[in-house]
Amino acid sequence: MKKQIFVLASFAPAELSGFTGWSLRSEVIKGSAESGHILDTFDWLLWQADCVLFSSPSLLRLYRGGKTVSTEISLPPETYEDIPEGKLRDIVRISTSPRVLEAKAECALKTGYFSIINEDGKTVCRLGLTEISTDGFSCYFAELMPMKGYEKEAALVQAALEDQGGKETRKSPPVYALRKSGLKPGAYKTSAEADNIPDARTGDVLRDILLQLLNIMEQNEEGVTRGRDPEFLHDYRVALRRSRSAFSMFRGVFPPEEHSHFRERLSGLFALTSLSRDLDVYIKKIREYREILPEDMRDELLPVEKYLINSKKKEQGKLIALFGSEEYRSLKSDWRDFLTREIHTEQGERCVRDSAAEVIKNAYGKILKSGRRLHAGSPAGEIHRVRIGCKKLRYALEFFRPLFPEKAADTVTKKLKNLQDALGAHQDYEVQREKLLYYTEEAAKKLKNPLNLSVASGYLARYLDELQSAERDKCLELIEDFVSVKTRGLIREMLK
Amino acid sequence: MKILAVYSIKGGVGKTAAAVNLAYCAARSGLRTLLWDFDPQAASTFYFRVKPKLNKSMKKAVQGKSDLEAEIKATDFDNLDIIPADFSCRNMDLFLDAADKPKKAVRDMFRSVSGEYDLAIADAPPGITLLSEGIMRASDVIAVPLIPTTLSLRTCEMLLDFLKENKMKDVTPALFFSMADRRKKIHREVMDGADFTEAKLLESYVPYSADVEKMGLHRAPVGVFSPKSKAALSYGNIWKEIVNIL
Repeated sequence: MKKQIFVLASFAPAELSGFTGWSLRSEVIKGSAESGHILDTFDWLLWQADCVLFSSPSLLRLYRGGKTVSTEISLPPETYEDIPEGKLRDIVRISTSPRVLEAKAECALKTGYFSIINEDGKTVCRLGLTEISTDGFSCYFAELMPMKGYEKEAALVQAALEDQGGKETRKSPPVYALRKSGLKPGAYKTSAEADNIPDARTGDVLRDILLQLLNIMEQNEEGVTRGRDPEFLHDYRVALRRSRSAFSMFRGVFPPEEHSHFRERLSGLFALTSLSRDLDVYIKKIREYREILPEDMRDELLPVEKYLINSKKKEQGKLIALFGSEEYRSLKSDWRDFLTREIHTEQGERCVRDSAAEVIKNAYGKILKSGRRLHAGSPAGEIHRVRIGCKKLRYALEFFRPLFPEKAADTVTKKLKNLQDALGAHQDYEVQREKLLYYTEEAAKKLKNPLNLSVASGYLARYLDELQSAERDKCLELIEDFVSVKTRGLIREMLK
Repeated sequence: MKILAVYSIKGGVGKTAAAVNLAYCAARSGLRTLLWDFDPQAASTFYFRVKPKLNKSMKKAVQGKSDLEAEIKATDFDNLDIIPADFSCRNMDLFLDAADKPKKAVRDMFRSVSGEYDLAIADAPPGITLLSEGIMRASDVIAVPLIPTTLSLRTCEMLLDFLKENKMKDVTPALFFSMADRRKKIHREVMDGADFTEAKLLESYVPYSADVEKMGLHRAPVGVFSPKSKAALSYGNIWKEIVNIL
């Protein structure tokens, strides 16, 4: 008989004695009381990886699949980097990097282990009792530990626990309590999608999607202004880009005057946040590039890194000012106001299934047209244009995923994602090389002898060039597949 | 799995107390330990508060027809399990006599439970019988408690002669004084003059102690209810010496 865990709303030792005829030895074999917080990233990445991280003032414990890993700490960690080296840090790093950890809920755990003794004073089984409370929810976990040769006795204790309303669970106490609490782990999503109502009006569905995206932007604002975690700005901008993309793909759905008004204002907002995001990426990349350089050249890039960090600080200040400005508040308020009113054209009356199919078909058609023109010598700009087309198609597929057959849509999306990864890498190398040289020049202005910096930078630029060249071959191969008869057939099957 | 038998031809020498306390010391040291109570009086069984009841008669176990695993009971202590005795153990000699290879049967029974344990301690009944011979043959070490009296030394010599005559070369006897009261002249003289050429006499001994008698009251090893007592410390020291022989 194996160890079993039962969850109970309350626990009464007297009822257990009444049921079994045995008593719970009053002294605790060992016990502990801990209180602290459940930590996770803003978007519950640990929860999505089936992990719950509990942090008390001196201990960090990760619950994963019925097992726990613990480590001692002196302060609650803000990122995986604050966790001492070891398995726990590795798991948190893989699941959360580069996001910061935040306190999601208060959590108190009180555990005691007791012996259940028979009429001879012999222990017939042991019981671990854990009382957990988190975010207004509390319950008991009774861990029944049978002893060799006393299986019948353990079965009787099990029956007694079930008689008290105990239900067997395989979940760890914090995992169970989080599920039952008022929190909604994993509820945050970075993408928006239509409800599965194919004959809904296009205008209504589009407004709903845009409202979802506006909510995502707002959820990330506080994190953006805190500035500790670059992913907030990333998610914010992705939601904004998706909004612009949806808005432009359905050009005729809203009246032209409103369309051009909001298109301009959203584009302006996107532009204001671009440099800050670029700097986040460059800072991350420059640290990676240092590792690529020969050891004696590594420190030569430090002036560039310093320049980027200073520039980011300035841009962060601008972002905080932007989000606190009256202009920004009014843009959001106007935008929300517009999205909550039923304003759309006759085109907006069409059923969404038809409109979405047309948009997907057009988006794919553009990739087909520009993709077929590509060859080994095509300039990076032309490859980038295909990438933009792919992004639009991807957004459309995500928005309207519930309206189309799942299998075909998933196959197309998977192919598209592979292509996007390669196109993204290709464009990244292009931009990174260009920006590396630009920032090298800017940083060099402040140095007396910038020669070593230029040499290191030139070395890296050549390296990036080689990587880009390899990625280009991969892009062309994947584009060829994506514009092939087979993929066209898949799109047709999906849209029919 | 190593096998330690706690045995004496003579009864009432503190054999069961030694088996129980040495098993407790072994388990505390981290060894997965099985105490096997062969004595139909079931005193070891009693000390661990286990009911003196076997699911199947020992007859089937001797014949290799019953699963000894099913007879094992956990004690209240980590790493320490027990095979209890019951009244059917009184017939062990008859069962062994009827077996095909009686001398090998005990060893086979130990082997059938060897997978989960590092050490088995046999609380063997007194007297030279088929069962005690089987236990001795299966053991790596025989711990022999001796009351420091002339008569006790005489029976010990008998045991050593028996081992020699029966060519049990692989078994190491480890003798130790038990229930020793150095206030008594006879105990002092026997302890100081003891000289065994054929066997190792341990330096540590178990003093005569009321704490050992209280085991029946507490139904636990001395180390549980009186961990700093002389008796508890002496069992600990004897265990350390035996580990070196094992």
